[in-house]
Amino acid sequence: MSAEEEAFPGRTTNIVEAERNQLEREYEELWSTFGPSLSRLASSYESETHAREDLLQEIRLAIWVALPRFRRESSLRTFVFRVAHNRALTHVWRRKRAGVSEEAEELPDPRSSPEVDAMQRVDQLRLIEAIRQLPIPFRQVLTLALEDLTHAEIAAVLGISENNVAVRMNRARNLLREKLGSRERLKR
Amino acid sequence: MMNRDGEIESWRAQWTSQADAGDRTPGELRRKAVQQQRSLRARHLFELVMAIILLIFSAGFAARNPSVEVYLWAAVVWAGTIVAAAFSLWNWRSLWTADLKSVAEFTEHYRKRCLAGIRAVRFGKLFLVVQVAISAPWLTGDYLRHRMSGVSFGLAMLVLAALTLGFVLWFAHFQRRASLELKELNGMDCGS
Repeated sequence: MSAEEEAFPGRTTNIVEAERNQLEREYEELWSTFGPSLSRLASSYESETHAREDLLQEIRLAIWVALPRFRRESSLRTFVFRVAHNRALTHVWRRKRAGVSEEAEELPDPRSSPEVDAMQRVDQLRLIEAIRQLPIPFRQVLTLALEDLTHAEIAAVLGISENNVAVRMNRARNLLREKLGSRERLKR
Repeated sequence: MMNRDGEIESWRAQWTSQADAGDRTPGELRRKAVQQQRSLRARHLFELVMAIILLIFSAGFAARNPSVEVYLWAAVVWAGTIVAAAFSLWNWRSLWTADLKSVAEFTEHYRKRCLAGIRAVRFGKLFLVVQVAISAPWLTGDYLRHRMSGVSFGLAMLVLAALTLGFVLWFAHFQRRASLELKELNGMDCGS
């Protein structure tokens, strides 16, 4: 126990409590801002519902654990996506070690809403499935771009240069076009 | 620099129209984090306790049955356990938790984990060869000196062969998977 804790035990507890409450408020704000983006990020790594939920839970935990260490040297958005992508890579690695297949699940997505137009939903699912099939480096760049991050922000998240972002983005788009095109041809 | 052309905008519209995520309260998350930490510690502790039990059991057995052969057996168990534990510690050192690194650094971290996995398989193969090289002549010696019946010897050799085959198949499976992971990770250099 520190000298301060010995001298003012109640006060120290209050300070710790106050810091924790502050952290929880920050986390809640952060999640209300980035929750949907992180959910989409999880869907780019996992097609199967339970695995996606597990990944999202792991991302939530990682951000919760990392948040006290956020020193505002980068933007909060960059920080959140960096932690989330790192956690997603760990998740994929563990799933592969466990020998879990990455095949897409054919079950309907429970997040679907009856209000969503059926054709739009089909196009959306095709896009998500095609994105999931991209190699990880291209998938990362593309999904970050789809979340409206600038090339500079993507470079900061991934730890690569803006030129590399541009190159990967170009290749990701070409690959995605090919995948969407080949699926279209298969449907005919 | 932004990608504001029609194609990207169309993909973005589809992408961002995915439904929202559910949420959990920070309190639940903290409990879950503590639970996971405990579970990880418990796993490491379990491995440590198992190694210690093996060491104590072999030492105790050797003390109760003093003979050159039993001392030799205990020495082999001690040496094997210590070497395996030391290798495991060395191989997996500092290869965990890297949340605050960039993805590029993290990817390198991830690649190192794959390499550590492959090293573990190589060590496992070597360890298996040594174990079989010790166990098979040992059992055969016991049989030839009539310390073991033909049935017991046959059964022991069968168990040894089955265990060896099991390990060989597991090593092959693990190595194939680790190599595939490495191949995919090397693909991550594309465009860099």
